[in-house]
Amino acid sequence: MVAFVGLLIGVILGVVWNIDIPVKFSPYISVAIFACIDSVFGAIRGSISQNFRADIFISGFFGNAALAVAMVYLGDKLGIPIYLAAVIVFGGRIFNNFAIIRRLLLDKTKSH
Amino acid sequence: MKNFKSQISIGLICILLGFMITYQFKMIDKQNSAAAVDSNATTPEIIIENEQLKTSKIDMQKKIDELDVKTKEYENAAGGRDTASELLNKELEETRILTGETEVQGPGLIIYIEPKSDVFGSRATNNQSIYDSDLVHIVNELNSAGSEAISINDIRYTSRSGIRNAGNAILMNDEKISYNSRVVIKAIGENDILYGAIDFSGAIPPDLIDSCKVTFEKSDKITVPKYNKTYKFEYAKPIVEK
Repeated sequence: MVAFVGLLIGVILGVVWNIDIPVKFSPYISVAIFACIDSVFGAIRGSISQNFRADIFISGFFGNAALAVAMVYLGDKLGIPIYLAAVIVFGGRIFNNFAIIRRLLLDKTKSH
Repeated sequence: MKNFKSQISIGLICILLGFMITYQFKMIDKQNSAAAVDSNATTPEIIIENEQLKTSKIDMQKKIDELDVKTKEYENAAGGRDTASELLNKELEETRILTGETEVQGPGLIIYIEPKSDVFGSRATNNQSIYDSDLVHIVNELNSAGSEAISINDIRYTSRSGIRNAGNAILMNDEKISYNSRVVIKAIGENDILYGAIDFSGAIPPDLIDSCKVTFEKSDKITVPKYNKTYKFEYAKPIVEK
């Protein structure tokens, strides 16, 4: 519930607030978003399986995003698209987390 | 209390995530629309300019033709007066043919060079089927067989024409000849001699035969167009005998 309200506020902020972030940061933000979505899925999974810990979630959220951004930067400097590694890993984890969430939810509905 | 704190942190992070996603959406959207505007704005200008230049070229060509007719009239009027001026007029006419300033007609040879498809062409590596050197070779062959007027794709070959590769085409008299489509070479001269010269093995470069289908035929009536530019002699001056 809180998450949805937060998302909504964020979206409204993004639409209304015209902050100027240089265009060259665009790829960094894309990868950071991917990392954050991964963290959120992890959090949902944690809360469903009742072992959610806010500190892990917050550190993962910012840590993953920072690492992904660092990877993009390094890849840019080295001329290797390392960000692909971040995209693949986070993508895989999102699907993985979603699979676990699905199973947990199905089990819950069955047990009722 | 702990639960409340974690809820707040999740809320804050979701705000951040939502903001980032929306912002990125906006940015990508802006970039796309900017790119679309760019490609729309620049290309048509060039196309329009090209069209304008084409029409102005046609207009100018018309004017040149009109002026040519007028000159002809003056010359005829002047030439009719006596035999001396008539001789002069005749000489002028011959010089004009030599420099390619008049359209000429007569028997001769037509050579068709048709590029083969890439699969069979041996020069397919860089997609160029006809090279400038091939055309130069053929023109040289025709000249040595006594042809009096030559055109490539209806561009008059003159004594000062250069044939060379330039970018994605072959340039002759500043006009483009595509090296991947059909090239027609017309030469006016003694039919049989021209035919014999081109039929001789080696007259057409073997590489060209590999990459293109080369056919040639005699014709009784060939029209070779004129060369439209005027000659200027800035450096070459005749020596005056004292």
